[in-house]
Amino acid sequence: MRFYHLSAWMHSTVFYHTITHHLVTRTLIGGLLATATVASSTQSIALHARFTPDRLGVPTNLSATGQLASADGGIPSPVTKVAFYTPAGARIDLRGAGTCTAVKLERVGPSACPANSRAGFGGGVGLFQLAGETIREQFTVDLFLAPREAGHLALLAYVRATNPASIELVLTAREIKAPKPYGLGFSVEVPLIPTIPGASDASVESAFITLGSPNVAYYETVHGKRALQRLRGLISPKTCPPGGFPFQSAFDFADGTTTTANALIPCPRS
Amino acid sequence: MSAPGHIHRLRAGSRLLAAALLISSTVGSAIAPASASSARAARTSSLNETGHLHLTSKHNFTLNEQGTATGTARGAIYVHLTLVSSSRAKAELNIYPTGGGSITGYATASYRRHGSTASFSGTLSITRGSGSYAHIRGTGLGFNGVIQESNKDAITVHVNGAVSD
Amino acid sequence: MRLSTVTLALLTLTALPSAALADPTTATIVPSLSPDRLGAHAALTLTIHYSGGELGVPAPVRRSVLRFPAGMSISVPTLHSCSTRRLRTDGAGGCPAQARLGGGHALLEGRAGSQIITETIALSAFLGSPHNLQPAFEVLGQGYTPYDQRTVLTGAVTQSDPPYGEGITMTTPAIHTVPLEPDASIVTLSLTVGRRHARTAPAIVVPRSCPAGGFPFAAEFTYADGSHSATSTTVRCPS
Repeated sequence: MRFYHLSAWMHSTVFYHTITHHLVTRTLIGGLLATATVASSTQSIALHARFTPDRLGVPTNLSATGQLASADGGIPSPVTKVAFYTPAGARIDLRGAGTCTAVKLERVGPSACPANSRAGFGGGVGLFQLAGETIREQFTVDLFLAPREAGHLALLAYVRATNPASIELVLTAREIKAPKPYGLGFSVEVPLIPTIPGASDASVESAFITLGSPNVAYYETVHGKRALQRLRGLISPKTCPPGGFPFQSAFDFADGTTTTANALIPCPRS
Repeated sequence: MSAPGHIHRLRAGSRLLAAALLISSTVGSAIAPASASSARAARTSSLNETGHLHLTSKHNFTLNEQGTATGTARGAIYVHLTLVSSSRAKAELNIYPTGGGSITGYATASYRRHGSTASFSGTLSITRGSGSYAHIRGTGLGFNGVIQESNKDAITVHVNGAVSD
Repeated sequence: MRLSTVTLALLTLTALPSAALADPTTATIVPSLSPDRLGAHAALTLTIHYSGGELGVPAPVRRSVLRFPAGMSISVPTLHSCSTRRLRTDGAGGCPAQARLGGGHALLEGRAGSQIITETIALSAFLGSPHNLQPAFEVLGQGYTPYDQRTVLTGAVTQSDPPYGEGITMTTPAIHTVPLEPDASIVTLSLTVGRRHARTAPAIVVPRSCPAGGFPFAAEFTYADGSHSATSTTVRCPS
């Protein structure tokens, strides 16, 4: 029985596909807050997160949304690093799951990854400034399980935007050791993404992520027979501490500032 | 010219006949409650009833209805109508005339929907009664009616035919 | 000048988050009867195909009004019903076999990330608990992979104006995928109700006469985005 209590350093690797014009995308990976939290001196982040189903000790989905704003009303500074820590007791059961590689994603895209390597999805709105005008573009995120490295979990994030400019990014994230009272930890470093000459590097206005699902299943051949195997994936903690599940997220920005947000997801009612 | 003895024999015979009639009527009266049809002359009459009923409860494919009957026997009427297929229905009907007693019958009918109404048409058998209607029986009575879905499944039902009593 | 041209083009293209212009969602229906004979107890197969929508995925359908030819009816020799609640909790196996009216399959699509996730689901049609004595229908959609989940479509009999007779109004609940991603859409659906030559099993009763031009079928759909579409077709008269 393999359970992964995430606790390792993150490394991120960025791969670009061609194209002259890039629009910045940033991926926020993490399960985050039920309330908006502390801002740095120039950036603020409003975060919301939940488990679905909202029950203890069951396969679940963790979804989060984030809205970034700049204190001066301009475009937020580009995010260069995101780290988050989930509640203690949350675990991952990867029996039956497959993996994908960064090379496959870069060369072919998500269709090259086996369906049972899907870990989650996401997206949002990126933006940059050009000649005083703000340009917005939607982006999507596909998350896949990568092969373990030294026993630690790794995730691949395929980031894509199509209009007005086409862009594809593959980010690799690994485990992070989480301090108490947290359990799972992730961190991803995000490089600056230039856009067009004269325009600002890309930033993020909003993003969402959805990890895991309670009812994922795939057919496997077991002892010569085709059988439906259910993936447990992300499992919610069995107990909820007084006050709710604690989450923390920290964002580094290109302007050198850092924003740390702490919040609690209310304990399930039943 | 009859002799006095002959007249005596006729009178004796008459007394014997009267005695026989008395015995037979006494015996007949004794068995009447158990077997009226065999012991008394059945009367044939016509039963014509119209009932206006409202839904009291329902369960799956059965409507339980209650209302007022008018016609030959006026009083309360209860109908339990059950769909047995998409085109057939069966029913139990009970009438409680205001003068007392009861009439019970069972029906089978065809069933058909017409938009927001449905109609049924078939035959009813009167199988038992009580009180003044203890001897009522009948088969092949007409049984038809309408279910108004737009009026909370209110039913109008007609029963008509010959019954014996 | 060139930079200004590029700037102008970018500004024209991207003043707001880009969103692909969506074609309206439309649907087609293809009915077929077997045997194709007047007055027969038959099986009716109805195939519905949805197209259009944003990024090639039709908007999820929420309500369908299906209209059948005048005189066409369903014959159910023995009435057994199965509740929606039972279907949701226990699936098809939780219902009496005599309540089953037919079956089929459907293809679902849902956008997630950059991908369109597809899933084939098995359909089973059942006689539902009647609304008073008005027939009700339920269609169980059972998916297994990638999402092992059920959905139940509910239907009630309606009356249509000529040249149609009875119809069915079906309600399709939202088919969730994962939180924060769009609900799944039915792309194609094929359902067969009734059994050929059946007198002791549910069957569709073909009218004894066929109007000039063929048996008319029609359908109207309401989608989750508030849009509507309508379609009609005819099945040629049996030869």
